[in-house]
Amino acid sequence: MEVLRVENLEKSFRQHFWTKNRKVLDRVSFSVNAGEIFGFLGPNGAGKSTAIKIILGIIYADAGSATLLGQPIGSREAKRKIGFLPENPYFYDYLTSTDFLQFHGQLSGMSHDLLRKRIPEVLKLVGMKGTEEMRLRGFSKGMLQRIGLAQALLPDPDLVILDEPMTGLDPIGRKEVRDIMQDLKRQGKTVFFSTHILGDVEAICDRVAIMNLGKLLSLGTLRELVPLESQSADLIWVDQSADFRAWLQETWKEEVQKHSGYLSIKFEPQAGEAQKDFEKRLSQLIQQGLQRGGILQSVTHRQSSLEDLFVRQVGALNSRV
Amino acid sequence: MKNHAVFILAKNVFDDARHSRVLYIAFGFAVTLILFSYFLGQVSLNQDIKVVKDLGLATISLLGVFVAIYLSVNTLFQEVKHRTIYTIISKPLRRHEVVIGKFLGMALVLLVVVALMSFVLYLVIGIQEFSFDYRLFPALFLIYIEMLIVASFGLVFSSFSSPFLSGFFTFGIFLIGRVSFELGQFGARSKNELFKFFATGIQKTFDLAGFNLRSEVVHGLPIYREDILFPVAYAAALILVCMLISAMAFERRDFK
Repeated sequence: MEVLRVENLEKSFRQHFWTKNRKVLDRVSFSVNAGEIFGFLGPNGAGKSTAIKIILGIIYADAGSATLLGQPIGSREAKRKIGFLPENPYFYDYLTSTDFLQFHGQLSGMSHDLLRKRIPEVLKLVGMKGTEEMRLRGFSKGMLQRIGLAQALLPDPDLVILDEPMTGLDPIGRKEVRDIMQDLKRQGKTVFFSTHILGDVEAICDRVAIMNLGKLLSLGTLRELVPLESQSADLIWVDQSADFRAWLQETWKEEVQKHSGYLSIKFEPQAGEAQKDFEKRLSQLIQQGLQRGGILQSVTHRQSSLEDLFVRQVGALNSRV
Repeated sequence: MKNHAVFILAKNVFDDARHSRVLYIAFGFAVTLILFSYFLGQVSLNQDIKVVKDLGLATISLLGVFVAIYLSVNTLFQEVKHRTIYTIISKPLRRHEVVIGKFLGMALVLLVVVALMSFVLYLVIGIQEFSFDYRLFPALFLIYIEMLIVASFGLVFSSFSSPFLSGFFTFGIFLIGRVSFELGQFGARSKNELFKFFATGIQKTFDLAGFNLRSEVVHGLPIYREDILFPVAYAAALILVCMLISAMAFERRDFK
């Protein structure tokens, strides 16, 4: 079941009335299924936050449509079932944690009795127990991020939308937020979060969408996007004689790099070569080398990572905003 | 009912105002001026109580309008600037409820501001003549209503422009409203038809002079029921129009 469906969203912004319209979303379509952790990945300026703001009714799309839990975006019914943490949240700093959560809980339509029960629960969940009477002005960036996360989780939403939730958190804080997301998934909730931290996506996401310059570049599970098979192998031979070196260069037809005392070779599949054939060719050549008296120090299989895919798709710096 | 988003947002505006230094400074300034009126009254020729009332009401009116402008042009702008609006709009409420909540919050703040300044004025009058002049109430009430009108205009402008411009426009509107009668008289004698049309048009449609009962209170002139009812009805219509415009502008706005 889809909890979020986005179809052909388009949005342009004009910085000033005399500047040209800049397209920040270009026919973006994707859907998020119930109970999954969905990573919305892209560099700064990719259009992630803009898409999230449209989904939440903070800004309006120029074209396209979206539904949240079967309801049109912006509707009161849809908003009742979502929790949202904005990027770099700023809150009324004179409020205490409890006041702040009460304010947001009441806006979500929660009763006083329910809030009395839920506030200690969410504060404990985000690791902020003991800050009930502390004012937000004394909070660090990481603490503000956590209290923001607490207000998103307060109404026990079906869908949690988090815009760059790891910003400002230390490694332990990031792990804790990842654990919270996985807990939410275990409870049957759906988590949709934007980030540019690839490790977080690889660690917890069921599905990923990669965006850049307002366009959706890829969409799918990590397994679909990043093949599990090795794509190349790094071999290191002991550099024992000029004959062996010449044989390597002639036979392997790969670039052999000479280092002090050893030779390294990056062995890559030929165009259109199946993984099985590539593995077979590699083992045959290794056997031939060993028969010629070569001493193989190591073979390292290199697997494509999300980072490879991200860099390949998003490209060099000049394709970023 | 008390948990309705509008009232929660109104309470938030009130809490926000309680932490505003500018409002405390404005209030301190008003109190100083009202106290100063006591000493000014002492040096006048048997007009001491009139001076206190006149200067006191003028102070409450002007400082109140300043507070109304300050609150109205900042309240929505700050939410957008600090992006606190993101977490509010994503809650199950409609955008026009934000505008109504902000206005009600301001109305509450202004009521407290007027009440506190009035208390100081009554204190000074009490010291002067050991009496409680209930005739000040209608004047203070209309000052408050005028402040609500100014705040509603501020809210309109702040729905689509910066605090500086909104403040400038709102103050301009207030000034025009205060001198609209004189403007109309001046326009009627003008040879420029366009100016005549605008000046007399403004006089007929937008007049804040009716909210000023200072002369009646200070000089002991009679105050009729119509002197209160007509301005209140006029204010209600004006505020309603302003709220509709603000809500429509806010409804269509993108919060980047």
